[in-house]
Amino acid sequence: MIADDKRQALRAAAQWLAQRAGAPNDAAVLHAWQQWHRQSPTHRWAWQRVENLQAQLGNLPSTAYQVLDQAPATAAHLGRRSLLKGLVLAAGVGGLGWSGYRQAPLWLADQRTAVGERRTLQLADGTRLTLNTSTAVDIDFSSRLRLITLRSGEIQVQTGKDPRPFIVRSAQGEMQALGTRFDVRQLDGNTALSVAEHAVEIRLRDGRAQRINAGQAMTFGADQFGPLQAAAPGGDDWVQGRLLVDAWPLQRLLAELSRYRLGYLGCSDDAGALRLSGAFPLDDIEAALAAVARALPVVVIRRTRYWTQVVKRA
Amino acid sequence: MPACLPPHEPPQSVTRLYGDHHGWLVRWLRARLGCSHQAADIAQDTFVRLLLSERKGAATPHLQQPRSYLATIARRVLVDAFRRTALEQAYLQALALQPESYALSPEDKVLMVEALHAVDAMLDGLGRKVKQAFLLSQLQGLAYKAIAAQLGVSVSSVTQYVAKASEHCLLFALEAEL
Repeated sequence: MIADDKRQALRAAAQWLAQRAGAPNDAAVLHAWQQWHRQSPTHRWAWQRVENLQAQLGNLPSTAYQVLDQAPATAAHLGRRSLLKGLVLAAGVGGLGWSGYRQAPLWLADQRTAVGERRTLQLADGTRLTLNTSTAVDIDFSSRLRLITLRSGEIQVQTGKDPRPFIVRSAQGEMQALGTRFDVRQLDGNTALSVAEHAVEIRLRDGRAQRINAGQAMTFGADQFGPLQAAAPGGDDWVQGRLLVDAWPLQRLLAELSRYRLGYLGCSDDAGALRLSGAFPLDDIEAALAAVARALPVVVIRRTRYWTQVVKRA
Repeated sequence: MPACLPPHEPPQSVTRLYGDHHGWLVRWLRARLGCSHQAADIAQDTFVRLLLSERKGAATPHLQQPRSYLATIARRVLVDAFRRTALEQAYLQALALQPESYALSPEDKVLMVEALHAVDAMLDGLGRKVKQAFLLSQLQGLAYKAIAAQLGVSVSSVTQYVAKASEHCLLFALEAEL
């Protein structure tokens, strides 16, 4: 603990530092500072600390400004959650300077799945948590709260019976389960919630809340709710490794399938508008593509393992 | 760890935590880092951090879930390590652009990175403009008028920013010594 008088003296010293740095040649400022400095040993102690600080800064390399100015704020002392909020920002691993640093905590998540992987966890309270492809979550159960932090990807939650509130936190807000089964997907800048059973309450950062009932869905940002929609039937079929689509344009289907494997998967413009319906396997994207090629007048072109394009058949 | 602690169990000491959970922490870290050497290092740093705070008189709280506590501290240690590495890289990159870089010995570089890391930690948590005003004034020696123009604020705001950042640094440095 720092004693109050020292704290006050440091505050005053900081203000003097700022004053003097702003008016280095001002005799009146210097004179007033001298009076303050003479006034008490505590003042002199505080000013000595200022000089130590300046000496510390003076020892930095000439590039220090550039290096330090780039450093992102992490506010490590505020604890892990606020820390992570600032960190889950960008992609790229190691050797990339700050971008690598920001990404790092994603692979520190309590649970994660690789691209194409899907995993169901049975939590201590009986909750079933299913992680879809390329997903990272932190699980924090305390005596008062069950908290799941969705850091990327998509989860389906089937809550267990337990008196503690169950909350899923995304980058945009919190969702409190008022019942049992729902699906949350972290998009770029948005969170998509779809409720299968009972209800979920969304709370934005500013405190506004909205209840989403079974059969409803909403995509929301950090500052606003989106329109209330009907939950897509079969929207959580991914839990069974299946994607159910109804008259989707091919482009949308391929974008969805590409979440489940690495590399580029896309289509030519003229093929993208073709529509199709059906159930596609998510654990075998090649089989899904073969099904697409049977259903539509298209061919699948593979340049490399990581580059696949669907074009209209000539 | 016993499944159920007796009601009057004294606060857990770091030594006890180490004995009970060190192996678990190393495995936990290894699963995330994929490298057993790094996992052992970080685990060690985690316990060192706990020991230091215990020595400073902070009683290790009575823990219902010691592992989640350990994991939290370990995450902070890791983030610090990343931050240091990133800082080092930014520094080496900046250095590479400078003609005199050949003159620095590896030891000097390490010391410079340490010095940068210390100041970086001190400034962490400050708002962007506050931090910039402080650095532009105290490192670059810019006049407040120039800083005000660069940040798009008034000169009196710059004075306030510099005072705020200085106070923050002074308190931080003092607390670090306590």
